[in-house]
Amino acid sequence: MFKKWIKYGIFGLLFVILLSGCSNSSKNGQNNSSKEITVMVPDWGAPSKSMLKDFEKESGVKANVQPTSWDDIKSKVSIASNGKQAPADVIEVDWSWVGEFEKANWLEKVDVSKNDIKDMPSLSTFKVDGNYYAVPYSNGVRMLYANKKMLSEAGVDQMPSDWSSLDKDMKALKDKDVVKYPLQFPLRAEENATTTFLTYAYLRNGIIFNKDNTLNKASALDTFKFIENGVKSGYIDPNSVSTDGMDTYNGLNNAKGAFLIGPSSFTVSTNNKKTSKVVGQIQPIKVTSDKGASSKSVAFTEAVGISKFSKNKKAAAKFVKWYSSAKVQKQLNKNLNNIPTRTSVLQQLVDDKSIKNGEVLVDSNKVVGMPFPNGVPQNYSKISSAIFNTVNKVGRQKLTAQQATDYLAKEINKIVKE
Amino acid sequence: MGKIRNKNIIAFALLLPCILIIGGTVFYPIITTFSYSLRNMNLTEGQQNNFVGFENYRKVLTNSEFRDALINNIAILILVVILGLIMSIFVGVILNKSTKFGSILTAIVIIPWALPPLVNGIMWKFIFFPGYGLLNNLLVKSHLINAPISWITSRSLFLIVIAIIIIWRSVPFCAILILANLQNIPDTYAESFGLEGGSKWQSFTKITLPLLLPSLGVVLINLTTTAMNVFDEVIALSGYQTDNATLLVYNYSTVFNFLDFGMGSATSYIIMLLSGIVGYFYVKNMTRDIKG
Repeated sequence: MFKKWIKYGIFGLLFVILLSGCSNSSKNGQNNSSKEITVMVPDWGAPSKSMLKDFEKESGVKANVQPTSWDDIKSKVSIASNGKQAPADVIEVDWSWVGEFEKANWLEKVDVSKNDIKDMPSLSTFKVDGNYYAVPYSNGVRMLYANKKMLSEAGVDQMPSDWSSLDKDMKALKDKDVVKYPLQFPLRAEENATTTFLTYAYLRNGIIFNKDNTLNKASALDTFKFIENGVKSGYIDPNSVSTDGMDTYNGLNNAKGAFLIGPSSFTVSTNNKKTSKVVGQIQPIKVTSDKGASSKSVAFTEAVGISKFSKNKKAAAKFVKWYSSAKVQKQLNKNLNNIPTRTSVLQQLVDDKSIKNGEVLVDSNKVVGMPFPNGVPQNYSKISSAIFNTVNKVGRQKLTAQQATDYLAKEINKIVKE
Repeated sequence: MGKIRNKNIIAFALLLPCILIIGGTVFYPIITTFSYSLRNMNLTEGQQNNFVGFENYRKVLTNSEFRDALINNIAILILVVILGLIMSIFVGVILNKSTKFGSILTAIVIIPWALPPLVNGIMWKFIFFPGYGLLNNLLVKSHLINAPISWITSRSLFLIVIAIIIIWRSVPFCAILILANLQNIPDTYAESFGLEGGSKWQSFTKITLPLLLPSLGVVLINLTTTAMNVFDEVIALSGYQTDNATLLVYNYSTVFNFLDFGMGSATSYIIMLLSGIVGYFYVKNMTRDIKG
């Protein structure tokens, strides 16, 4: 009889252990208290412990930051949100995700002041139907970087002032054998090839997509011709079709190229001895158009938003406000070399020499434009996939510029109609 | 009678946790995925989560990117199964012969199998990197080629490269399986065959190989599933390039890049059915040999 009870006792215990795994109390690691929130951002945006303590003192909200690989964030958000759960109260919102996330109803609106809108021009990327869904914290303004030392070795004294002078400078670098491939241009089938294509098309022609979201064929043809010519003339490394996009960008820091149109983070990384072999040699230039310096710039920024499924929306809103404040942007720059999205903070950092050669960055940040006439589309991922695969094919010389334009126009029109 | 009933209750109670875990983690997702596959379940179109029958299957099967991915997977599968099987037997036999360094060699051989697929992919990317990759450098320096070969940019070469990587990763485990089988075959069989005048090759083909059939079945299943599930290496080497994509890369893009869970679930079912058909023939042949 006693043995029997022991047996039942063991089975009962097993069931309790098994069922405890299905408990609802620790769902997503969230605490039921509204004074505690979770934050999912990449490690390059994670605030330090002392900053978080300051936030807790100021707001009474404890923020538990989960540094997450950028590549994993979208799938984590998708899976949790599809199950009507918050992946975290505050989530990373890349500029390219905002159209999809908003359409899927996964993001809560965020309040921004008039001053925020004026001070952070890239906020326009996160505006859908008049509402803002995320606040940018990491600047992604594109600028032209030129290696002064290499240009001097090629006998070029002046920085390029338009696209044709850029072309002449690349030829001079090539002819004098200063560098094998003067221009760093990502051609691998991944997001960096898309953002680079969009940047070149927008800066060269001021338009990429028509008002009905279809591809502007003239702009695309011009950009594909630039890539085609770059590969054929030996300005762009043909091996970039297999090289990771960030590695291609970093070619500037490794003295593998003399020119790059890339993210604003290079204003800092090119002058850091740990990451650059060309310290003091790189000059940022405002990206040129055929008529001289472009009146518009383009930014692909990282932002934070609030999950629609968060149970602590008020506390999450406090964090977003704090995280995008001028004070915190300055601290993030000091601790993580993060480039602020606020023009006022950029100006301060340039004035106190924290960012060298930053005047161009401030100017570019003031004129950030939106390459999508109707905001980032909900099917951006499909559009991006079509673009980077076409760019890759032009890089591999499988398609001519004209064929690539026709193919991409057909693909994008198909996606838009879906 | 009462004792038998009690035993059944105890057996059922002991099995219940396992049934619940497998039911919850295997069967429930399989059923849920099937129900997703019959819906227009693009997460960015939240309002249109309606039943569409087998429309997603039709869309997947008529999609040119899916067909490209399927062809790529079949090419990789054929190369991996044929070359992987030959290599596994070869390595297994070599390890069985080696007596002095047998244990050290076995430990060395198992290393590639223990490496995570992504690490494998990155390592091989450096080897096959076009232009200044390790292999190109070696070939150019040894004057076997004049100019670097673009290993990854050509689709056919890329598939061969991927097959080589999969073989390199899978052969160790398969060879160890064969080695274990070989070590259970008494030497007396081959010795008797030799006394009857049979050659070593005849001894291998007529005695050793038939006795290896049970483990060869497991080896074939392992090689097939590894070749069907290739993902990390493709991403590490060529990103999301559509003409180099395999079925899993296509499926990942559909689900996690395009957030189309309906199409993604239909693709998963098609992949599962294709794997199931191949697996069915292997298992059927294995059991036939065992019964025979």
